[in-house]
Amino acid sequence: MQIKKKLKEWPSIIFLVFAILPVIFLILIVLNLVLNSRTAISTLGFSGLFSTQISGIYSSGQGLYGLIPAIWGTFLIIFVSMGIAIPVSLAMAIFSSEFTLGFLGKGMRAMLGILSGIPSIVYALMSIVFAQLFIIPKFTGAGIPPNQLPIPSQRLPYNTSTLLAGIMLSMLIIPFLAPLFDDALRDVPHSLKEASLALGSGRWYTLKKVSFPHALSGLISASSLGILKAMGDVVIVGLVIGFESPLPNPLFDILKSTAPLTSTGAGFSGGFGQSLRSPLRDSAANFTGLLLLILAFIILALVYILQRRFKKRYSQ
Amino acid sequence: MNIKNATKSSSNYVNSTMNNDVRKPSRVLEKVILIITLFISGLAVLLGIFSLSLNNLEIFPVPVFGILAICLLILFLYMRHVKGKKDWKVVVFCGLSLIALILLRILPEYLYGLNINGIIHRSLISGLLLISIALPSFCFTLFYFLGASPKASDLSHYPVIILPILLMLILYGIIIVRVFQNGAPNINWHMLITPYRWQDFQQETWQNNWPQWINQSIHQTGIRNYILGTLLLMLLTSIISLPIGIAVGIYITEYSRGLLANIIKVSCSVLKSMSVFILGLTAVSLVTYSSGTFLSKIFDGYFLDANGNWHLANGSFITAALIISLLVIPIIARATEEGIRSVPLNLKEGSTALGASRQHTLFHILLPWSYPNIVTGLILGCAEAAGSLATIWFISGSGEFGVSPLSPVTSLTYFIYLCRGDYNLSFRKVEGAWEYSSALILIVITVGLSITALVLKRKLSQRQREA
Repeated sequence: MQIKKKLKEWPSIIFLVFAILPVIFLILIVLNLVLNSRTAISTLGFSGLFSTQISGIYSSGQGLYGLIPAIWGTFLIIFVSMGIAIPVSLAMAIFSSEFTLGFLGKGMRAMLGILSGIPSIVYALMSIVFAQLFIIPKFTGAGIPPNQLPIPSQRLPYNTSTLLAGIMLSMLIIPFLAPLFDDALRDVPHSLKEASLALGSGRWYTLKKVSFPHALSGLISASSLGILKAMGDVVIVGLVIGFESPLPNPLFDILKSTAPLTSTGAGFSGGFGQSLRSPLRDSAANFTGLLLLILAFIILALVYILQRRFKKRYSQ
Repeated sequence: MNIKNATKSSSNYVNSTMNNDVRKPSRVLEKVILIITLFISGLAVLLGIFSLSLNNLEIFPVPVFGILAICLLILFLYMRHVKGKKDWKVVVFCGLSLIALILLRILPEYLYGLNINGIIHRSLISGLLLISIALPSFCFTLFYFLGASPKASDLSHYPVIILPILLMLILYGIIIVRVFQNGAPNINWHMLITPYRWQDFQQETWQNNWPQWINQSIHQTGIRNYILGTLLLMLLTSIISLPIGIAVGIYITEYSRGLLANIIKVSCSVLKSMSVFILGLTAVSLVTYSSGTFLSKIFDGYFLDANGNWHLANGSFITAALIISLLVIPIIARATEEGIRSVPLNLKEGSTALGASRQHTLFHILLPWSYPNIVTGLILGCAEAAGSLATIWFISGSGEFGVSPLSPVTSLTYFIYLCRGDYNLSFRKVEGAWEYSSALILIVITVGLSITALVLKRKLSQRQREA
């Protein structure tokens, strides 16, 4: 009897089988990263993996696989890209939800939807245009004759630098981030906003004192998604920055190119072509992926703690 | 001045206008001073924007800062003596512009040192200083100009919001215009229908009953295979991800709301924000593990070279579609979930009241209603598949050997990478400067898909308003 009843519910079993697939895929992905990085850990050891020396791709032998410069590069690229993306996305969200100018405010959301269709390789391709328009006139001493340059000219950031990659990455992130910010600002209860407006305060004051504090936890979680996107992108950083680099000498020098974890791992895994692949390099690439995952979880946990604190402060 | 409307946002103004024992201000003089200050600060903002991109405006910032400081000082003195209110913000920005003036006089034209890897031009600093000082002064001058009411406070903050948006949109405009400029003139019919082939091979011929081998080569350039590859990738991805995505969406809304549904939801959101680099590594592992087993033909892919020999490739279209569908499943699942949640309750309850079973309600009421949502999700997923490079980066081939589900994976994005990212640029020398043309085609495909999705979404929201 019970079997018959269960058989009548056959779609639920099929749906369960299909719906459990993403969970299985996720487990397999993480398991694959852990299992594949065993070779790198046993061969190089943690002292080899967490050192500042890196020459994994260019060396003919085993090579050095220190990942400290890559971790620092990840932080640098997050700072640069989110430093541009968060203010602009916030301005776009405010413009489309609170400070609308007639049809322009409504069209903002549609325009962001269209811009989010541009794939990342196009930004990587067009980085050369921004290098010509912005980086070369401003940062390479374009007016000085070549023999009087105080810095050797091949070191100058002609078309590769963390700054340029950060600009291009922020252009990729903004169409993704601004609608999330917009949603967070729209989630503020209308009653609160209208109470503030009815008491005679203007829209800017309402935004500053009512909407923004109320939406802050949503804004923080949205920007954490943006940070994950900035961390995880590999095409723009791989093509603009390059695949491996030493630690920059003044640590905050964004005019040097410091490869983040993703592009370093891509270099290990055959960014220059599949002929350079070897088991140790593949394993090191998998370890890089694992490190990226752990770093993402740490950042998400920090954001979660921050979010809870803001929520508490607002509810008090 | 309307004191009643003034609120806390203009508190210092209110405080100062409360003591009414000041002389009656002449409105014309006030307007003239405000208009001149507005003009100068607006000019300074424009100059700042231009000097962020041009190097030869170096004579202007110093006098502009001087005039701005004088204007702000006159404004402050006028407010102080005639209207009797002290707005210290004006003085602060007057002082800041004086400091900026002195700083720009002191700085040499090129700045370097501290081991920083670059030679910074002075116009960058002057542009940043101009925007950061002149924009706030423009805002508060506008505030006074519009009558210092809460509405004026709203209007005076528009420039702060609009300026970054405008700058960013200019950047996007530059990208799109440059892609069109470089790409559109190069597109021709011959390039679109020719596949790329660059092979040397030996052809066997028979002369006097003895085999002879003649070295031959096929040299063809074109991007047909890359366009077809992108389309095939979209097709395969939607075939794989559509059933799974719909099943996930239905299961977490209709069948289970417990722990399992939460686990599925969380794993979907993790997959959605998973780094594409990790997915690319997974694709590599899939290919490496399957080579040597019976699955190697499916996951590795194979091709026949010009001599007719059989080779294993680095990865097939099926592998790539499988990996990309991990990114697309969450999108479709989310769309299905939204669609099913938007079904009007009376429809659902009516079906149940008439005696329909759960399955009947699902297949005849819920799914037909959420069908447009699913199509929207699918279209967005196709755009994702067309634009993805990182997931197929490590397993792609150069696309010489045709396009079929089991041949080596290739797409327009990989073609652009081959043209631009290859360090010796050998591929580009062969294929010509077609990366911009293929970028243009790629943008047309993905942006066209996202515009379709937008139009569908708009129709959907109309339907929901009617329901």
